[in-house]
Amino acid sequence: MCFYNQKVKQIKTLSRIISIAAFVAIWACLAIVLQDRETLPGPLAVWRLMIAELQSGELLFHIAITLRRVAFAFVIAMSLGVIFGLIMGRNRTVNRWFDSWLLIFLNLPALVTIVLCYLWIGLTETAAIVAVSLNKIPMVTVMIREGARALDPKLFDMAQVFQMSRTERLRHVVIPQLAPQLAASARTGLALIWKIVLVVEFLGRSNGVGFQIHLYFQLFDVGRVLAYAISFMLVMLVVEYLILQPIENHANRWRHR
Amino acid sequence: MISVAIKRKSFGEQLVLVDVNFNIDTNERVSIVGPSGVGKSTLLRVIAGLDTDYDGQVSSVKNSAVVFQEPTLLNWRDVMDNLRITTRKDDATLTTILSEVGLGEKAQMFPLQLSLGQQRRVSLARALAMEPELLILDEPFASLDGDMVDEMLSLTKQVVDARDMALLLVTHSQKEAAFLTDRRLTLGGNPATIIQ
Repeated sequence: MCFYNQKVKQIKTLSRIISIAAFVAIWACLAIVLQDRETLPGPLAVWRLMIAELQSGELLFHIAITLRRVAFAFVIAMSLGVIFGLIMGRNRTVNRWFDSWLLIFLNLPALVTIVLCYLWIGLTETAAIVAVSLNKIPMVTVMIREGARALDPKLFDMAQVFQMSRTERLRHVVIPQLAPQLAASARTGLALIWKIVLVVEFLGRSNGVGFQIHLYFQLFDVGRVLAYAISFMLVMLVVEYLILQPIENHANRWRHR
Repeated sequence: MISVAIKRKSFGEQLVLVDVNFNIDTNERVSIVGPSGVGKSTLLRVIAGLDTDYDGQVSSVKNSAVVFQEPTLLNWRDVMDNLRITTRKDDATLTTILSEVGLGEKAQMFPLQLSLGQQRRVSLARALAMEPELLILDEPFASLDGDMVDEMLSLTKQVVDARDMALLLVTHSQKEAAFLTDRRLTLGGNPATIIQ
C-alpha cells in the first residue's frame, strides 16, 4: 500500500513537471514562429532578464516591497473578515442588517475601490493597503459566515457543561471547526490580493512589482514585464507550497485515520 | 441534593414536559426511562443547566458532568488534549483515568482514529476527570452493538462504584437502567411527566 502510494505520488509529480515543461515548450515554439523579440521574447531571453534584474538588486527590492503590501493587506483582510463572518454567522439580526452591505461590497469592482481610496486618502501606502483589504474582506466574511452557521451545537453544549471560557471556546471549539473555510479563504485571498496589489501599484505607487510592470509597459519592454510577473508568481508559488500547504496539512492531520 | 420541580417546559406552542418532580439524594443512582422522543433529553438539558427556558425550579450541584449521547469530542485534538482542555486536570490524574477506562495506550491518538466504543470511553473519562458530585449519562450506549453495550455497562458500573457520586441515567433501555441504577423513574405521556 505504501509502495503504491509512493508510486502514485511520483506519477503526480512527474505529470506536473511534464505539464510545466510542455507550457514552456509551447511558449518557446511561439516565440520562434513569431520571430519578434519585442512582442514575445522566448523563455530563455526572459530568464536572462530575470537574472540581470536579480543581479542589479532591482528585482529583489521591488518583490520585497510588493510582498510587504500583500502581507499587510492579507492580515487585515483575514482578521476583519473572520471577525465579521463570525458575528454575521452567529447572529441573525446582525446578518439581516448587514447582508445587503456585504452584497454591495462583494459586487464593487476592485478598480473602483482602488480609485476611490486614492482619491479620498491620497496616493499613499495606507490608501493602497486599505484598497486591497477592502476588496478581500467581503469574500473572507462570506466564507467564514457560512462556516459559522454550520458550527456543531453539541460541542457548544459540551463546552458549557465543562465551563470552558469564551477564549477557550473560540480557540478550541470555534476556530478548528472553521479550518476548512479559513484555509480556503487564505488560499483564494492570497491569490486575489497579490493581483490587486499589482493593480494598486500600477495605478498609484512609485515602487513594487506593479510599478515596474507599469514602467516597462510604457517602454514597451515585454521581456521585463514578463520577467517581473513570472518572478512574483514564483514567489507566490513558494509561499503556497512552503507556508500555506504545510500549515494546512498540520491543521488537518487529525482527519487522517 | 438535587431537586427537580418543572411545572412546564415547551418549545413554542408545543408543551413537552409538565409537572416533573423528583429528588436525587447524595450518591443515589437514578434512571429516567422512556421511549424515544418523549422528552428525556429535554429534561436532561434542563437539569444540566443547558436549557434555562422553563417554568419551575431545578436546584442541582455545582459540580456535575455529562456524558452526552454522542462522544462530542474535539476531533482535532488528541485524547489527552481533549481531557486536558476541558477538565484542566494534571496529566498524571488524566493518565490514571484513561487507564481506568482502558485507553492508557491511546492518549496520543486523535478521536477519529478510535472506534465509537473507544470514543465513548474518552467521553466517560472526561466526565470522571471532573470528579463530579453528579454524573449525568444521556443514552451513553446508543448506537453500540450488543457485546459492546455489555462491555460499556460493566465498565461504567465499575468506575461509578469506585467513586462517591450521584448518577442520573437517561435511557430507553430497562436493562441499562436496572443494571446501573437503584431507582427508576418512567417518563411518559404527551406532554411528558413522571408516571411511575
